[in-house]
Amino acid sequence: MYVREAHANDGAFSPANKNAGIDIRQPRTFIERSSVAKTCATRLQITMPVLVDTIDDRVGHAYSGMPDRLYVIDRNGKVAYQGGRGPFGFKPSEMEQSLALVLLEQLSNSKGKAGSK
Amino acid sequence: MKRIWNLALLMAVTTVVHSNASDHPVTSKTARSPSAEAESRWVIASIEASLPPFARRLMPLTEAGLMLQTVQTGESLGPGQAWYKSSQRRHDWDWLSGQFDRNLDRRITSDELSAAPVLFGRLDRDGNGVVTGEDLDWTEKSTWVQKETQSLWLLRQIDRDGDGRITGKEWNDYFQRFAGEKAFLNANDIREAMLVERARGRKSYEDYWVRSLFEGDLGSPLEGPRVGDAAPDFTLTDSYGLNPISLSQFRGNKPVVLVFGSFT
Repeated sequence: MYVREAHANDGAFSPANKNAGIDIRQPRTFIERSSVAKTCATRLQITMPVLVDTIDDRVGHAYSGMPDRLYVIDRNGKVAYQGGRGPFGFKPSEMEQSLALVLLEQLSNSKGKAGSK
Repeated sequence: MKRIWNLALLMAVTTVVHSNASDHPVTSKTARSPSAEAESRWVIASIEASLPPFARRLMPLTEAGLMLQTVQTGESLGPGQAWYKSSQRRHDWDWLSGQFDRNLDRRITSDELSAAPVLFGRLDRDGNGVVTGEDLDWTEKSTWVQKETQSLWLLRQIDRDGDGRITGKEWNDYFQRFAGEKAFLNANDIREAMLVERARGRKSYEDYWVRSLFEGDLGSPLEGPRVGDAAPDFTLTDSYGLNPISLSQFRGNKPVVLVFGSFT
C-alpha cells in the first residue's frame, strides 16, 4: 500500500534520505505518485503487489496507514492485528507472529467443525 | 466561563465526529470521505492542544490531540510516547495457552502444537524449542524487543543507501569509520559505534514538525479500524493504474496482510 511520502523534500525532509540520494517532492497527482511508487518498488526490490493510494489519501487515512503501519485482516474481513504507528510501531516480526496466530485459529476452527460432524 | 463553553463545544464536535467514524466502506459515496474526516480531526486536535490542563483531565485526548500537544511542547518522541502506542492484536498468550497448553505448564511444546509444525517455528521467537509468554511479549519492556530495535538501528547505520541490504562496501565503510587509522576495531570502538553514537543521534523536534504533522507527513489523525472491526473495503490499482485489487475479494478465502509505507 503505497501512501503519502513521509519525508518529501518539501515536507519533513530527512538527511538520511539525502545521504542515500533519495530526494523527492510530495506528489501532487496520482500520476506523479504512481511514478514514485514504481521507483520505490524497483529500488527496494519489492516483490509483493504494490497498490497506490488515491492522491487524497483515502485509504491511508481510513487505515491511519501513514507514514507506515501493518495490519493483518482475517479471512472474514475482520482486523486481527493493527500494528503501532510507524516508524516506532512498525514491527514486521510482530505482524508475522500475529499472522501465524490467525492461521492457527483458522486451523483449530476448521478442526473443531470437522470433529463435531 | 469561556473555557467551559470551549469544552462544551469540543465535546459536541467530538461526538459528531466519532459518530461518523463507523464502518462505512472507503468507496461509499454517501459516507464522509476519510480525507475530509482527517481535516476535522485536526481542528479538534488544535482545540484540544489549546485547552488548559484542567480541561484536558476531564476527557481523554484524541491521538492527534495528544501528538500535537507533544510536538508543540518539544518533548522527545519514541516508542510508547505521544501517539506511538503499541499494537493491538486479537491473539495473545492467554488465547494461545488456552487453546494449546494441554498440561497447563505455561509452555507450549512442539508436541502440543503438532498440528502446525511450521507455525510453531514462527511462534517460538527466540528459537529455544518452547513457546512461552515471553515469545509473545511485544511491549517495550521485553528485552527481545529492545535488542531488535538496537539491531535495526545498527542496520540503518551501516546501510547508507537505505535499501535494507548491507553490501560488502557498506560494511567496510562502517568498519573504517570507527577503526580510523587502525587496522582493527577494539572494545572501545564497538562501544562508540553501538552506544555513544546512538545517544548522539537523538533529535530534538523543531517547529516544522508541527507543519509536517498538519500535512499528514507524520501520520493520519484518524486512528484506523480497531481489532475486531470490519476492515474498511477499498479498491486500488497498481502503479500503472491497472490491475485493481479490492480487499473484499479475499474474504472467505485467506487472511490478508496490509503493509502501508512510502519510499522515503
